[in-house]
Amino acid sequence: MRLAPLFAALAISVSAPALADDHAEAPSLEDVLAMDARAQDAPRDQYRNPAETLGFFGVEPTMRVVEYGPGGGWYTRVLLPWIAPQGTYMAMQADTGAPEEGTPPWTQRFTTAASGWTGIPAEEIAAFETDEITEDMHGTVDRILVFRSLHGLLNNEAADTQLRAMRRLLADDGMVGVVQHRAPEDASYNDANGSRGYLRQADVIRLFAVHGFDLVAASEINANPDDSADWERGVWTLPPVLAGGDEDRERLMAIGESDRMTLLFRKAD
Amino acid sequence: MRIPAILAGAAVALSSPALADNHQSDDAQMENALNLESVLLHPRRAEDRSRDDARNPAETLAFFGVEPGMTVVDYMPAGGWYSRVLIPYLGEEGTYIGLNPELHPSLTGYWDMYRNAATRIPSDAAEWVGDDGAQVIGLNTDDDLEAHAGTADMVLVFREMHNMRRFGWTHDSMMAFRTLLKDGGMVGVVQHRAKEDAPVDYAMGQNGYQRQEDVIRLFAIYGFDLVSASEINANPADPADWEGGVWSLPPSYRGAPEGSEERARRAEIGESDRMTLLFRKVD
Repeated sequence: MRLAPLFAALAISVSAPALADDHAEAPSLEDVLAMDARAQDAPRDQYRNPAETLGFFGVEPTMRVVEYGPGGGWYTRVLLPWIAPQGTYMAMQADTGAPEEGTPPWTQRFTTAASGWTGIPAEEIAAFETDEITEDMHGTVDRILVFRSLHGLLNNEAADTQLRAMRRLLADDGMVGVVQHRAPEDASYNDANGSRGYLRQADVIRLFAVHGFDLVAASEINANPDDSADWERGVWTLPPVLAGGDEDRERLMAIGESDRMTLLFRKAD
Repeated sequence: MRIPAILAGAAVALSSPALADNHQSDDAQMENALNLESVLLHPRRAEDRSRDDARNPAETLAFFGVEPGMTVVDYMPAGGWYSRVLIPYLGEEGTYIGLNPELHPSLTGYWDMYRNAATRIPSDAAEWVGDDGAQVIGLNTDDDLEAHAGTADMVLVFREMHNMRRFGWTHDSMMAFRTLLKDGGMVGVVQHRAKEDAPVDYAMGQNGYQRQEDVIRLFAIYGFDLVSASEINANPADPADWEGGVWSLPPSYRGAPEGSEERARRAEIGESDRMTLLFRKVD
């Protein structure tokens, strides 16, 4: 349980007016995207379009923002330095159960890593697993961002629990932004059930509708019409993973990263 | 008097889209309807029969296209009301698979009866129907389903969608349905129906009612196409917004003590409004 950093983050957020004078120190999104710490991440900006995507989701640096399933931290290295000075950044993921003996819990591993990426002290970074959400957190979040992790949720029974938790966390006017590998509309169930990374856009919209979210808008910011989205090895065939190693490398690099849907949902009544 | 039910059942059977592919003769369908009627009239159903008006077993099974000799999965048979129809109706050539979810250790008391389906369901079935009818198999979704993979013609889900959703069984259950069903196999669903514009928080499962559109969406996500919907089990008199959920209505009457005016009012309404949906498994 990592309530301590969460409360630390809340305290920081509460004292934000004290920081108001220091806004000069709060970097703009442009500043963050140009940071040296992102030198290795920046080549993927052409596929992930962080400025356009966060703009489409209406994320503001003063907001309370949850990044769902931060994984390797590519978006954390954008969101955390941008939001921490004026708003609240929180990382969330599904319950991972008890860690193996001698291994710190995910929350601790994540905050340590994120501190290393950004220089922000680990104890000021909030991270929680779904089973650690407390009632005082309900209805407090402005944006939840789900970057390419829905296929995993649909594929391992976590979707229902996670979407219910997201709905509880969101403020009444809160929204969920989703970027997800996109299967063709007429893809078969077996090609689009999440096991290959791709989902049909209509299924994602259905999944959110069932859990109490209305689609607000869809964008083609992260589309890639060159992706046939039917790779036998799944989305991992394409860069950046290139699951086939050097096989077809040149052709796959020319295609680029996957075709992606970009969807914004709001909490329905 | 059961003649109207026979006729209704046969009529539904004749017009059932599920049966359109079966090239069954009208005679065979009429014979099935008569078979089912004799099952419904069996003395073992003396107590069950009072709910036939609300549950419409003849019309419902005809609409779903259930026929003797099929392998049918009954999701969460519970007290066996439908088992006492299905097992004899499927007959000696048929196979009845009672499928229960994986029970979280925290679910005890009432829920204990859903554990150990492999032994429990055949033993319950023997008490319910003796050895009359189909071979009976019991499974929990976390059992090894491999031996039964691709064997089922049909899965039937009678008023359990809300439990699937509120207890987190949806994914595993849907995957089990896909595993057990043959290619092109069917799923028949009867479910308490919330109003189309019911608030999300009312229809997430804990009140028993589901919005029809949400049920269709869930099956679509898991690779099932809606084939047809029927109003056989509809009840327009149900406001479907009971604070105490669907259990406010008969047969539970939650919160309406015996002899009370409220109980009489609810008896007048009858059992819940229900959707009746037929899906096909697609690749």
